[in-house]
Amino acid sequence: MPSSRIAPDKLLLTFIAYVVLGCIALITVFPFLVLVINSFASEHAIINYGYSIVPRELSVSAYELVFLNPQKILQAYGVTLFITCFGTAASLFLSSMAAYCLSRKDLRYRNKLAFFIYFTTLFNGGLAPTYIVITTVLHLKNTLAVLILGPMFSVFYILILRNFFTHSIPGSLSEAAKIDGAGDFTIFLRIVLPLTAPALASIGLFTALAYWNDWWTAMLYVERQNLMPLQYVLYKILSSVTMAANIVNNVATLNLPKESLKLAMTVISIGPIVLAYPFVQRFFIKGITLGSVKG
Amino acid sequence: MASFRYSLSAYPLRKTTLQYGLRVFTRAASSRPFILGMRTSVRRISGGSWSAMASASIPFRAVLTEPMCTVLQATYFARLSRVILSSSTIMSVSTCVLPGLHCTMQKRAGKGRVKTYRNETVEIATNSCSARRVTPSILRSMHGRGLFHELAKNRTLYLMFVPVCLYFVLFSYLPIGGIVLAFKEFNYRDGILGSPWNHFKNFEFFFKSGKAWSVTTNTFLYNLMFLALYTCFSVLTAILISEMRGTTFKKTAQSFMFLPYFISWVVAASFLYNLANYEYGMINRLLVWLGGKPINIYATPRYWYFILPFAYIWKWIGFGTVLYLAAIVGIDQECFEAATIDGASEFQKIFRITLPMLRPTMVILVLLGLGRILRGEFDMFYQLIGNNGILMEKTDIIDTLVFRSLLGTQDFGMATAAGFYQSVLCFAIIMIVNRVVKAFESDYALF
Repeated sequence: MPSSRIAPDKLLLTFIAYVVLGCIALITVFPFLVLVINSFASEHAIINYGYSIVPRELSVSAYELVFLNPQKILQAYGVTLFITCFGTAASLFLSSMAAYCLSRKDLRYRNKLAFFIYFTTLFNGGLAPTYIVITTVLHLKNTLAVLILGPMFSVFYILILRNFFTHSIPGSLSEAAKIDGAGDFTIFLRIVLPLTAPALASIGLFTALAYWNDWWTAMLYVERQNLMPLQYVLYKILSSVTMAANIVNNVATLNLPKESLKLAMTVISIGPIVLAYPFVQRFFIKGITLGSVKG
Repeated sequence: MASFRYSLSAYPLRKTTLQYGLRVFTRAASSRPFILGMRTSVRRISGGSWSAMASASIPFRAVLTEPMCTVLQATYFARLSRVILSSSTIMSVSTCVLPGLHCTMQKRAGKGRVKTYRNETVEIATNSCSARRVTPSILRSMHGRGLFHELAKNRTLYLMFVPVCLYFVLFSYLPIGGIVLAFKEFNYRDGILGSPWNHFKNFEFFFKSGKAWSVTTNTFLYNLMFLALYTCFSVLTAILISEMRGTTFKKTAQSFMFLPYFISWVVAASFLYNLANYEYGMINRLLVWLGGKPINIYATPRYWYFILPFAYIWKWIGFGTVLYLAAIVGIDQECFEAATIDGASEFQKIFRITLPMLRPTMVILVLLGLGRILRGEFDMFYQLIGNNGILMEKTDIIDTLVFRSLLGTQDFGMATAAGFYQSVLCFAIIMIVNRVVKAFESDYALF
């Protein structure tokens, strides 16, 4: 019997969905709110009343302090931007090149090669030998190169790309181009790569995010301040007041608004990501789906 | 013709796999019987019978060359007992050519049982033996062309692989060689090769300090907790999101949930500090406001059993939700419609359709998680807790221990030993997990 009323179980489920999802969404976004709101509170208010959802005394002094002496922050931003852009571009190009090689069915050793890189996810030397190899054998300590090379390739992304090539790009395209006289590299560059754009966009964003959020490589291998990327600078600011004072060229640590300065710095460092987030979110969702279809 | 003896044999490749092969024996003195052919996997569609499958879609390859050999081979994933090998099955696969050859079919089941069908007539198809199926590489492998020939022929392709290959050699395989440091007392002057051996001293130190056991259990238990909670919460939110009709609320909620994924643990640590620190943290302010006493979270280990999983879920729930949501969207809508017509309630649909359909995704993700169960979430532990000595005993994981002994005390030997211990355990666990999976559901196996 058709009825226009919504069934009670459906209503109950919708109700549960709204309540549960609403709660989870609030909880996930709550720390962001606390951060942004309190970064506009005065140091006095934070020290006396603690962090609150409703700011008691509005103040932009922390931001002023940062923007008056922005050189070091800008430098950190510059390093992060450079390694993110350059690293992502290089990583994408080289990864897809390797993935294309692994996807070609007429290559006899492709499975062996795939296993060669897959093996590194099953077994690795661990942090200490890696550290020693990079510092004493490759001599990459305190270089920009280590920041780019450190998080450069992910086996997982290469294999996703390989699957994308095998399943979404018809082999007859390559064959046709080959008959027309194109070499393997030309086929890859002119035919395969343009067709891979959607997958490249997603994987590129994941790689870029990894570069942007990488503090760890810098912590291990970089000691010179002019090479420190943003996240690591932020980490140092959050963990030591001296560093915070140093960043804003303020020697008098005593009257530094350290709590609100930390908050302001955090806001400044996550600003670009949160602003870009609504526009790039769908690429990430596509990327996750891409990986899960044939991981 | 008469000098060839054909035998079609079915033999288990692995426990759940049957491989059908037509072996060709020749009487010629020099040639040995051999099987040629590609292994082709055919997945059984549940409910459909084997013969239906066979007539519909068994791809197979047949090669006719000198010395003559013909192979019909299909790998069939099913339980052995349910396979009935009959001549009609074979007939329906094949179509023509070489008619009337007699052969012996053997079905060899798991425990040494052998069932033999004698003098069956087999017809072997060569009409599907088109140039496309028998690729040049198969023929080449028959002739056994060498490594250098292959490398020279496809040099461009292999060169394209070189940069990535080089990267993994330098950044992954060299460090694997660096494991020798676990048996050495490293100093910078002598380098990796020159440093003196100290045999098992590093391991001794690691195990005798009592750290080994505590960090291993910590890593294991935390990861187990994370994995369980992550799976539950992701599935729950994915199902709830899929049940919602209004788009605005759904989209907003999902965006909010996904946001923490984009934030580094450095920032997440600052969030936690804002909430939990003793003097100004929101939690303590709230407690004071309610008339309670502030609690010193950063000095009380037991709170962290709750905080760490909470932080983990907070960071990853959006990611997991997207994963499972993709799987839910992939479910055939007709199932739900049919259930609705049969009068199923919404909850029945969730428990009887959605959850069972999500099982493959869940199994794979849980397995991947289990394989990594001894790889700690280093970023999270290090950023949230850092070098806090009071919390150390309850929250120290292998990764943080290695990191601290590397950068802090510069104890390279111990750090390498601990890392090696972790790598070996991880490797063993992955192998075991993979083996178990293969035994039950070979489709889900990692490799």
